[in-house]
Amino acid sequence: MNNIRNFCIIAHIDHGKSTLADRLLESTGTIASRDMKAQILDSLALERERGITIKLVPVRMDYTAKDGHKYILNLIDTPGHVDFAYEVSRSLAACEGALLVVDATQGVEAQTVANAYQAVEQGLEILPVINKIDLPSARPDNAKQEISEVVGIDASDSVLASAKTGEGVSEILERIVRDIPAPKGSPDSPLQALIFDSVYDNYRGVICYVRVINGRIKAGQNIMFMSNGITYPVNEAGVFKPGFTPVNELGPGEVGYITASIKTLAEAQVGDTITDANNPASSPLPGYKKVKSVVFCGFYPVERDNYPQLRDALEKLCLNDSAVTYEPESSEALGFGFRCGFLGLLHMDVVQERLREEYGVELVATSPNVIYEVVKASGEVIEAHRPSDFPDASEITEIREPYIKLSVFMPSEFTGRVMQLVQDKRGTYKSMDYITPERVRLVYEMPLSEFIVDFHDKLKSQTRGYASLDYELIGLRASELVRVDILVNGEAADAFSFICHKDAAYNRGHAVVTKLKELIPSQLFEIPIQASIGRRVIVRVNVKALRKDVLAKCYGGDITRKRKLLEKQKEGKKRMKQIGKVAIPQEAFLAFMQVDTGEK
Amino acid sequence: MVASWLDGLSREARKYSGTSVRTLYIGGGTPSVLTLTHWQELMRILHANFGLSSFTEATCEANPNSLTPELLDFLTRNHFTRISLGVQSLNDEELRTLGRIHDSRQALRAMQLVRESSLNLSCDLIFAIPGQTLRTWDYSLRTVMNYAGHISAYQLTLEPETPLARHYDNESLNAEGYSLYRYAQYMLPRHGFTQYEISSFAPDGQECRHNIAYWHQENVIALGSSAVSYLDGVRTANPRTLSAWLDGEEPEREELSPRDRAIELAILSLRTKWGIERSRLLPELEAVIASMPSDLFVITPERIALTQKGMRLGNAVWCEMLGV
Repeated sequence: MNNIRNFCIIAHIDHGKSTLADRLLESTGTIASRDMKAQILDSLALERERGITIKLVPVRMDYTAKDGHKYILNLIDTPGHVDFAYEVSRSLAACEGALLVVDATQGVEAQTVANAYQAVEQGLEILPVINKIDLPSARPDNAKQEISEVVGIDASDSVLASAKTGEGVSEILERIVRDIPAPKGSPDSPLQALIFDSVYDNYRGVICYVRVINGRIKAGQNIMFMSNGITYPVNEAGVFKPGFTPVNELGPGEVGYITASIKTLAEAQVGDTITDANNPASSPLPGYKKVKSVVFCGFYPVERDNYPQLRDALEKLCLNDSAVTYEPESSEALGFGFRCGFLGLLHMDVVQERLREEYGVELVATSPNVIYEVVKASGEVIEAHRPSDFPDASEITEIREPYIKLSVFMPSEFTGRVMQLVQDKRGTYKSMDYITPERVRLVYEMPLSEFIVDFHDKLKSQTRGYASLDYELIGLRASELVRVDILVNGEAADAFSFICHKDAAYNRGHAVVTKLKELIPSQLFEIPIQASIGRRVIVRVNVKALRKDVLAKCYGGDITRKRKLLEKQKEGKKRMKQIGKVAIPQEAFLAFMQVDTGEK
Repeated sequence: MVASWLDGLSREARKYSGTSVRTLYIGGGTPSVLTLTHWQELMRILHANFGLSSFTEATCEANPNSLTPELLDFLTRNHFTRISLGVQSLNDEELRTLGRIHDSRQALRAMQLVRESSLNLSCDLIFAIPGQTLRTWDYSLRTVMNYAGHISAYQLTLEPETPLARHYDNESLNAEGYSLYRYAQYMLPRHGFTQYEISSFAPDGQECRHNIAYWHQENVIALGSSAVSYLDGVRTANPRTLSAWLDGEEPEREELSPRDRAIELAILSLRTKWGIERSRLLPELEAVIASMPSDLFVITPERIALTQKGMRLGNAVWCEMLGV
């Protein structure tokens, strides 16, 4: 146990985490360099493309240190995105130390701070590494200073490294052995093993990635998941060499995997504690929680006939991503589909991408939204997913919505613009500090609902991509929200109603009715389109009545042709959704849903 | 070529031999390609098969550049009553846009020729031509009115893959055409030309009997390639190419169900100012009509017809009616 070191690497996107991991594997001879695909840890195509890690892939390295002793180094990769904050925390809980990688040309970014704080909170030893020092624009001293000042960790002793050239890598390995504490634990206590990730394999069922804290685990042993009491006999225990390599048993401090013919991921959840069913531990390890979806959107097949394929794909996908929730829903414009819940926007993109790449499902996704909490006059509290879930305005005492704390790091020249952007999104100013004279950190609190709709894109364009951000959920808060209904020719058109802050109701109502006016074709009579809050109409526009329709001559042979033409026209109208006397084309629904067809 | 066409026509006419007809209409490209000898042969075929002596109206279509005094003379002697002249416009720029081979001078000359004969003149005019203005439209209408006793006003309809369709679309033409059509509806009746159908204007009594037969779903025998006949609920369309027709390829046959006949009759009848008899109107159709804005219809105890506004919106109205 004294020769084991369990660590992870925390870094902002693009600061070189994956490259450094590759270099460590290569230096320890775990993988011959000629066998290495660049960045082998990031296996999903999307991860590669975006340079971020979503799925954790642990790896075990054998290393002979300068002191002559052999060490087992377990690298547990962490997801590099705030959507997966919980998974990050569980990975950290499996480690005793963390390499904090900071780009020497960029300095500290939003996620650096968030992840570093989490690691500190979990009691991990932090080893700062200043990466990319080979670049001409590298300013390692500035980076050190930022780590000290912004994160608050002494960085004077940082390792200067270049994962690209290999410089400093051997020093990192030595420092891991020297600075990161060996795990503690008792082999004779009842088994307590933390599940820090689990994946689904078609042949073996769920594979649990575990860190043994106390006790031992081996094949044949009857284990129990402490959150749900489900028991299984272990089929196999093993370590990541990399690749699954069976071992006789895993003891305290060790990182490895077990299989037990577990059928669904829901049974073996990240954060849960595995114990011995015959000799259970008195309490589970701390920190387990059920993850909850915070962002929702609708997934619909591009071709309506492909609904069963989408359903099957979602079912299979959920086998190895238990954080996704889905339930059937139908839409006037898109037909049958599913309302899906995710941990965040990136998670949503990842799932969409996987459905497309791994399951070949072409789908359209509707604009994302959040869950509201509505307090009724009766005192009853209900969850509202869609505008139609909201009770009548007169019955509502309070509406609460999820809030986030948002940190934005950026060059100071963009401060004004970003403040404006955040304020437009109902952000409340919390603090601003200068990391260096040129770089600023802004902290705001804002509604999640405003954040998930195009905030990233706007921030990127306002700061030419120089800003980085991090956020955490800080709970529900009462907001002055209203449901805006859209009436077409006096009839409520549910698909178009929306929830927004009362101050934005007019502008958004105006935008919706104007768009509808463009998209609803003129008909035989004038059609008023109104936006209203309760019974109060706030905006009204009219679709003018048709003035003339193409008039063609009509004799002999024209008659059949004419009828076919009319039938075609009629067919087109049938595909429209009838609201009262008005036919509304599908484009109108699609435009309103801001449907993303996946073209980026 | 023309000889084999006449053979084909003769063969086809024999199928209907003995039918007595009330009106005759010779259209398409026929009139301009036939020599007088061919004309004589054509008339012989028609006389041999149909009781032509009883007809009340006979129209021949003609283009301004191919109409000759000789043909007019022949038609007069053979008891024709009308000439339908494809004037289209009296503005040379517009005629060029339409790709017509005649100019306004030829059109005027042709109209003059017909007026000097004893035949009635009907002129076709087109509106919503790109570049057309209310003023040029007014000029075309006014000029034609001086010669003709019947005017057909058609909106330019672009056929896919024609040169015009590359630059314009029907929808924008439709928007352009609105005021021009409305102007014709306003102006022509003030000069005695009643709008008796969506595209047709004439003083009372000068309506085209032949066309009315289509709109009243009467039987029509049509000869030649791509001709469409209607006999007692069965519509037959001849092969579209001349060669297929000459080879005796079978016509396409479409039998209308009683219900489809009733719907079609309603739609066709509504094109005309007389509208449809309510006794012949399906109750469902009557209900659809009742659900539409009332300013589109003139409703009497016996009949339902479109108003001027209703005629402008004909397509939308029929579309509703097709849905029942």
